[in-house]
Amino acid sequence: MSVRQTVLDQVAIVAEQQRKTIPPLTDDMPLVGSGLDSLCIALIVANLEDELGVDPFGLAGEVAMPETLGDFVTFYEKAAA
Amino acid sequence: MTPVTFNDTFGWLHTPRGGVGRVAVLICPSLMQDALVSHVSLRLLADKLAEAGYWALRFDYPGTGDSVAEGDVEPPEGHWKAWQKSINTTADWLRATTGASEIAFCGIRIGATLATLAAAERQDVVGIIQIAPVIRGNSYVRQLLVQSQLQTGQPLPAGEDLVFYEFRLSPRTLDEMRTVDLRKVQFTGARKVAIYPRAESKLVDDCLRIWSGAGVQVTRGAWQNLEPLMRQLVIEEDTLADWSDVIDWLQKAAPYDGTVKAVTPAPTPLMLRGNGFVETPMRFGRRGRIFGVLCQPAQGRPDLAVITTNSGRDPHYGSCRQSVTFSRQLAKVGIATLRMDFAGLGDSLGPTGREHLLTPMFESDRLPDIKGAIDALERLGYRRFAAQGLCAGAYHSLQAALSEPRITALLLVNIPLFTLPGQVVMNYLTYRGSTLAHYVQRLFSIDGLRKLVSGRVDLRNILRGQIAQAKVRTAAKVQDVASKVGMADRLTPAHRMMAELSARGVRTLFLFSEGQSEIDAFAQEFGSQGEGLASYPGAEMRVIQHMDHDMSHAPGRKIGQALMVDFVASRET
Repeated sequence: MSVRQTVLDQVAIVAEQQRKTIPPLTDDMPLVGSGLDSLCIALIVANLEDELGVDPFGLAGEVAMPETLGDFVTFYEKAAA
Repeated sequence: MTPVTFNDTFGWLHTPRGGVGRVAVLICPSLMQDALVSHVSLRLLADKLAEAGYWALRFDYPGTGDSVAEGDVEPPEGHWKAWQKSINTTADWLRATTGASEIAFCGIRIGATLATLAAAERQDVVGIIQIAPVIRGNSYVRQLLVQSQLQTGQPLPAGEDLVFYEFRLSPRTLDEMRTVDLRKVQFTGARKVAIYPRAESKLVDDCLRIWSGAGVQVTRGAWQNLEPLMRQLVIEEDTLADWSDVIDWLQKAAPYDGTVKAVTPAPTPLMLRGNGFVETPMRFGRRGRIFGVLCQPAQGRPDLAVITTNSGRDPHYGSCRQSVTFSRQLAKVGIATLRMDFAGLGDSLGPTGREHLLTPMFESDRLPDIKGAIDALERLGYRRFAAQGLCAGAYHSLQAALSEPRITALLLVNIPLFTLPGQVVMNYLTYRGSTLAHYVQRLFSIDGLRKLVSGRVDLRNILRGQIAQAKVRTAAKVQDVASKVGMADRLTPAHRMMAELSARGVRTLFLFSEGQSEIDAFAQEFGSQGEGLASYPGAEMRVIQHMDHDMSHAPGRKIGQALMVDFVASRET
């Protein structure tokens, strides 16, 4: 499975688990403010680390949180490359 | 179930009915939000284990729940090692107290991780039940760091402590947590493990493969009936987890042996002592179904007691242990506190026949529970009473004060409404925040229309919330006009409440975090700065910067708690 698909799957899984209503997943969807709260995003990041075996935050040191879903996908694609 | 205290720890011992088995089950809770949400379901698990013939013990790790230790002060060995050590000492206490010869561990989330690490070092563990375990500590620490970063807006600088929820976690503790990987755990002796993952995960597959290869009998259980353990943001009546599959597994892994002679646990002093406080568990209300922890000053005999109530569905110790830290601060200024659970929340049983349901957050009559608390405190010699609550707890505290003349002070944090809105409360709270004009403006943007067409805007609920708001505003205007022509009482329900309380001499402190939705209902009645409270002596309000809705962010929580302590203590000096 591609990195992109893994990221999108985790966003959908966590949103469903946390009973959050989110819009259709598009690259311009803001990560914060589209229905996902901070716990959801933290869980997505934790799950992605387990599923992809990469920790892009750890690789880069102190990094800012990507703002959109597209940036978030790219963030993981670069880390996994 | 019986409250117990040991090793500066608080717990609940659930005694088997109809016979005593050789196996005792130690339930290892999770931390922070996971612990809050799963608390009542774990109480149900302990009840079910006792029904099946097993001793069961629930307990709080050091620095969590009602334990004596503080979470924001690391012990010399660090939190992580202290938590692991507490599982071992508690397991030893459980065996010694009950006479059980073997132990089974049941842990949830990071509690499953801690339980597995502890079990791997012991020879008396007959089985481990892992509920949605954290398999890699690194990803769990990352989860905490990301959540903290989103809360503060800043990544944690290297080498600094992580201050998050009730904890201060040093870099050493974070590093110790990061190194954990359950796939590498080597169990000594034969083991039986049941793992209940919440979702498909290759890490879980790895565990099954690696542990089975090492001779461990591993069973993968179904998650379906356990979802209530993680279910958040539900405010109506709700079900708890169904533990049937877990009990079935345990009965096969460690069958009940009724031939063991019953043991009556030696009584332990039900008291915890800390810096300036003494705490005692209390049961009160009809047939002792309501539970609370009484925190009293170590010195002196106060006659004032503050009753803290459940914030939403959080147990009596509160999110980030805020009720614990608040009550211990009050003890230092000579005031007692009873942190209680309403019926059907925390450790209080629900109404007869509905014991195993979570009661609704708002649409429940909590007055009998608060009256029961005051009656119990009066029997102990207390004569004056204050009620404190956050969100739904504030709503119920206010309602109780209107009917209960013994309440003389109120501490209300982020009270979201004064009367029930006449519709689903969650919809009202979700969609009341902005004016209808705001939504209309947003809808008529290109993006807004796209969202509406695609179903991404819940127009029906927005309108319901707005209609409820409009009704409140219209009612207030109609009442104002009617009063001017002498056809009605001039006051709205909220003003009538404050007039009544003020006339009785009840002092009321309203605290709000910044943000329109927090203060909306209050501002409609009394203005965004509380200017409308001027007519009601004894009432005041403050807006606190850096305080979030549930006071989970430490800086705002500390300010809010200090203001509440000052408000209550000002009459004591």
